[in-house]
Amino acid sequence: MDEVQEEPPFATEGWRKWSNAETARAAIRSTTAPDQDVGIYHLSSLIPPLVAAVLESIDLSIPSNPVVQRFHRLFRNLVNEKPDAYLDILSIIAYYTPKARYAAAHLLCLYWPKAVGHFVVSKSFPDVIPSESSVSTQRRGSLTWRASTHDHPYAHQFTPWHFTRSSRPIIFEGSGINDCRACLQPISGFGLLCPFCTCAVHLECYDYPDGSFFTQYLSAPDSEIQKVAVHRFCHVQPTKRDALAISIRMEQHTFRMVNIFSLSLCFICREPLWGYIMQGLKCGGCKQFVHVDCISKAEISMIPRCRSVQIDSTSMTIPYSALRQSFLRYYHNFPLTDSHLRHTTYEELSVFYAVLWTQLEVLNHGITLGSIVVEHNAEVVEGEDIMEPFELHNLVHLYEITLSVGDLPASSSLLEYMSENGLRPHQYTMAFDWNTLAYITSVIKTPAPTENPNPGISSRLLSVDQNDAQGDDFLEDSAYPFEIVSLAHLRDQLGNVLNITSDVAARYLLSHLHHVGLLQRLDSEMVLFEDDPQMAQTQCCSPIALGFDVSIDLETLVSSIETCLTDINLSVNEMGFLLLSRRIWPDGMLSDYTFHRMTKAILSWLFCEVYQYN
Amino acid sequence: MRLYVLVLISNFPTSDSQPDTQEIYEKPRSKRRRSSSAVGRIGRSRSASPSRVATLRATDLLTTCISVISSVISEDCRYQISSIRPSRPPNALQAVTMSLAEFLVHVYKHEPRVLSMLGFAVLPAFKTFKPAMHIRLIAFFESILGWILDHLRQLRGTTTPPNPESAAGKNTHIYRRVHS
Repeated sequence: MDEVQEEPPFATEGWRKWSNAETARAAIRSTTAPDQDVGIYHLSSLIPPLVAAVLESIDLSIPSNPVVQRFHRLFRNLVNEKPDAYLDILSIIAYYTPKARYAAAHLLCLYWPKAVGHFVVSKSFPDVIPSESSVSTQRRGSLTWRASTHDHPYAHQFTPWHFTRSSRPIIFEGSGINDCRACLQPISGFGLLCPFCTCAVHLECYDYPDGSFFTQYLSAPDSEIQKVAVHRFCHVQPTKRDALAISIRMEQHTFRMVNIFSLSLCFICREPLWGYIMQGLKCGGCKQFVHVDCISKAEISMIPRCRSVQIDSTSMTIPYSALRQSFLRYYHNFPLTDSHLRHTTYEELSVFYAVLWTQLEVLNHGITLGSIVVEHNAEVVEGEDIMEPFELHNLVHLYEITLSVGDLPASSSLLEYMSENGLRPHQYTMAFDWNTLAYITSVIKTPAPTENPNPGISSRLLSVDQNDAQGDDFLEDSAYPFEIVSLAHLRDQLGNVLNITSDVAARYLLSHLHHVGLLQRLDSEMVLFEDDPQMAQTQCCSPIALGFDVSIDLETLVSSIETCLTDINLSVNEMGFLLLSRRIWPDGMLSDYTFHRMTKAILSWLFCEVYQYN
Repeated sequence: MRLYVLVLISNFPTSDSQPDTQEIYEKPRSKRRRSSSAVGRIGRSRSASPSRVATLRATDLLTTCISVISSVISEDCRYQISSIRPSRPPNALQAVTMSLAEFLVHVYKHEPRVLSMLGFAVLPAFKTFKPAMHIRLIAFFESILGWILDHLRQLRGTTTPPNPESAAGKNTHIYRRVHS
């Protein structure tokens, strides 16, 4: 008797696209794209010279100046109405005077900080935007929202990462991209990466201020043995500097979104905060973690006041069975069996593996650091103890084996990328390779492949009618990438180009791209996906071009990097290096011409610096 | 030459001719007559031949007018009035030129090409005007940019995104709606 195969929740057969006519209309090309209405070029040509002219005559570091305030108002209107204004700012950096270039670099850091990154070495640009409401307060009973002050301009946003030891020879020890910034040793396996400055650290070396704390508690109510739990986390930065660090205040708690590196329990529901990034919120006062759902759905009366709850063993301990059940509830839509794996593609399984591998590492570190204690068979698993494997361990092992065998089909786009870089599918983790993520971002911005509505047209290819039709649809069919697209378009392109037909995998990958700063919502919200019927129409962009873009803006990016490196100001130099390392990292897909120009720019800067100090 | 063009402007037909058009053009003409008698003589002699005015097309006049504005802004507006009086503040010429430009923006707000030309004509003012005039310049470009962005939005088919400040201030969607 044949068993009825239940369709897995991530069914790939006949996947339903998210795009419709409305989302297709929402796809907009930049004003520098070819073959558009002439009026667009007339209108947009004024913007870079205008902004440059103003920047040359004002000093942005004096926010109290009424001219500066008026300019910021003008610029905010410009950014709101023309979301791709970052390309105009980039052209100012590339083609205008040093004074305008410095001010434009300042503007780019203020309005698109996640696209640029943050400084590490040189003096950061003054963090001054005269906002219309620097502190906005709403009160609903005891619930208060308040925008707090700016984060430190050098603040990192560490993310769990998988590091692969490089096969290339090491020239200077401690200076490689995969070397720990603290101990200068190469990182292999789990580590933490700040994608906004490419700083990497071991978790053991992670000593970030406001990134870890100790909790002391009694091991049992009637015991005098004190235990110490160490929690490691990192705050998530807002997308725009003037959006400020968003926090939620309730019952005297001040919650902020965090990435948690050592699995912890929610102080309301006592269940683990599953997930690999943005698992939940942390209160700055009592340092408790909480699920977003728990504070959004619980009654106010159910939420204890800040610092009113004594932390004891129940805050840290969870039974083994509850841990398993909680895990299965959270990851129910992942492929759980061999038969499910037959329906997945290489890209999908790479995403699933990345998530679960990171989850396992976070769990193991939680047990090691004591932030979670598992009770199993009347014994306590903590510290260096080894826990009995459950579904999480088995799935990670299963995915790893399936990927290493190399039988899963990969998309032609990814295969092309891997062949240009000399990679094999089983040798690297797609979701933790920066250049692959940039390549994916670049590819999903391109137009969706159009289907031939009339299969019999091939016999009339040389007819005049056919040519006219093709001429009218040239812009629609061209591969010139879009600048502003809907979330639906991005998701469907993952399916069209990378064979990611599973909605679950697509969501994780898009959230990952959003978290590392390669994608951004136009409304600068911190969370990419929301429980909203209109979610698919959310407009997104990828601020500043990438090295893989087949567009005119790549030339602007390369020119801006060259001019940044020729500038005398060290902050502008560092901005050039940030753009270089995050946007045009050396890759097999880049042309020799790009390599020549970038190498020349870097060497010129080096020689100038050496000459200056001699 | 400049006075001649101003007279032409006051005569060429516009669809939105304002009653105060004559006043705007009368004002600089009267001021310039007092300051420069040689140019005034040319103006008086030219004004006696209206037949030549009728042969020029409005678009050529507009282009000429914009080029004159550009020339005045890049050259003449570097200087301020030396003998200041209550009726002639130091930045009188700059103010009058800006008023003229603002008027043209108002008249041609639905023509993208003219807006672009006007914008480029006034752009050198950031170098030539004194810093005290910068606020007025930015206000001018705010208005011109408003029309430009409006036209761009229509041509590109973009929809206006929600205001990020209002979203951040309300703080409703960052971590999902709390106690809605």
